[in-house]
Amino acid sequence: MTQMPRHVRDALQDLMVEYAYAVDALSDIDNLLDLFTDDAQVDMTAIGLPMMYGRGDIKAFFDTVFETMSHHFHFMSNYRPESWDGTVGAMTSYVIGMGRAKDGNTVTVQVKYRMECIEQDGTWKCRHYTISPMMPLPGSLTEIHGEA
Amino acid sequence: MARCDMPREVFEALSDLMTDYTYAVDNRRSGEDVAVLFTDDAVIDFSDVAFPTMRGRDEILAFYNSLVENMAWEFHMPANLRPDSWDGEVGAITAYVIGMGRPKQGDAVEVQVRYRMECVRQDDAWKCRHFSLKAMMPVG
Repeated sequence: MTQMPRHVRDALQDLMVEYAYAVDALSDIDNLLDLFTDDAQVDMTAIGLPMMYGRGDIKAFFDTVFETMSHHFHFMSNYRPESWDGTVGAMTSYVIGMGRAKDGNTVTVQVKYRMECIEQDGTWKCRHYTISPMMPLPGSLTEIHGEA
Repeated sequence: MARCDMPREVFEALSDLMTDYTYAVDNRRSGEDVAVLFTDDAVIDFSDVAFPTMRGRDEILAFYNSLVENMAWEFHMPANLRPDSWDGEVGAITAYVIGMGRPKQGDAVEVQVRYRMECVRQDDAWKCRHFSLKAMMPVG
């Protein structure tokens, strides 16, 4: 792997942080969608949640999340560059994710994020995002976020 | 970093100041270790987690001296540091923090909060002039 330049590494880490703030705001879906390319894929199947193709799917999923949740907290660490080919960069991080639904149900997960990103018009965006479990998942995750 | 034009070296300095704050609180050595990180007229607003709002060095020193006296363990771990504003002189950053503590008497507490520190440079050192907390998960 070609070593990821420092400015790319910083940009990808910043993008992951922006994602946490956007998800945890539980409002302004457009602010969240702006972090993804139009054709981005989001793969949450490893934690029992949907596979999403494009902004439409992503919007539909997070519209429901924002409507369902009263609190969110996604705490990231262990950022690590994973790949860089001169155009596309991928970074991983560990995440403790916590949430409380409006019905009082709560969820805490320990997962790994992987975001594959490209620069479009001077802004880095995620084109492929996956979540992998790092500890056993609680049943409340699909109770809160799973499809009815 | 795209959301404001804070220079990277300022962002790193403010991040270091926040780290210094956690070390100073968690070492439970002296309120002075914490107070020195703030301007003399700093305001600390913990009202969102039902703690006092402190105005100025004397109130800040008294609060953190009381923590030294009453706490047996403290652990504050920031992540998700992000520049919030920069006007060329005053910079603000935010971070998510998992905070844990066990008083000498009583039950342990854990909170998930967001810090915001607004900072200025004084005598070659960055100091916090306004510090606030926002609860991100229900407290208590």
